[in-house]
Amino acid sequence: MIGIIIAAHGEMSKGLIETSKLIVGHAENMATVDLLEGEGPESLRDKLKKAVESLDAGEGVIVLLDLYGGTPSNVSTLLVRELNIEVVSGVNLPMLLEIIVKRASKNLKELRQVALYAGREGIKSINEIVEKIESEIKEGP
Amino acid sequence: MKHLSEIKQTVRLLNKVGLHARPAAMFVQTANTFKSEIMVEKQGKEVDAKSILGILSLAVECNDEVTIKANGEDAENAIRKLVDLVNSKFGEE
Repeated sequence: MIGIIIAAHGEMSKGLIETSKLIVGHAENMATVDLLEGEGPESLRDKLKKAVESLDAGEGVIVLLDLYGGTPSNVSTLLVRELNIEVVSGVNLPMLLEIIVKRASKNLKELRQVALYAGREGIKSINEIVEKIESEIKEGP
Repeated sequence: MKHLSEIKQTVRLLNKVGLHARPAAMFVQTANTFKSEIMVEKQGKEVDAKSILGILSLAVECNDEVTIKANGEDAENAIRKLVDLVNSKFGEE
């Protein structure tokens, strides 16, 4: 099974994982790598590398980052050629949920596409949707 | 490989709060255990039954009817399992 790592600042990853449990239940082969206050890139790099190595059962690991350009992102950039990982930034709940439910039937490259699509599709303006419905009602059939 | 026959069945959703996140996830997780291509249709809108985002975007409410369509080697079994799940109200009221 493809492993999942959320690498983020502070305790964000813990929150995402706990929330995902409420919706899809406990997921196997998933870990967090947290950048703590005052922690440097070398220490984070070691933690991420260890986490990937312990989760990679041969099918690779998808690493989800909170912020493109932040330390977890910079550290992952240095590891993409060294480890069998796909790294996607901008993690949100839709992205995580979709990956959890689809990873058994996808390979690592396909899972990257799932992550990108779900992350983007999960962002909507509710006001825009309401405005669209209202204008459709006004126009009639 | 596309199979010629598509199997479909229409069901009415009976749990009070509709297809919110948790039952949607149960539905999608069940769909993902099958090889068949599975779609769900509500009032002409069709989505991938294997996607939580897709199912949630249908905004299925209590008493809404949806049609589950499956195409593939395990289509019959998939429809049966998914219909059973809907009829069980996902273990809710």
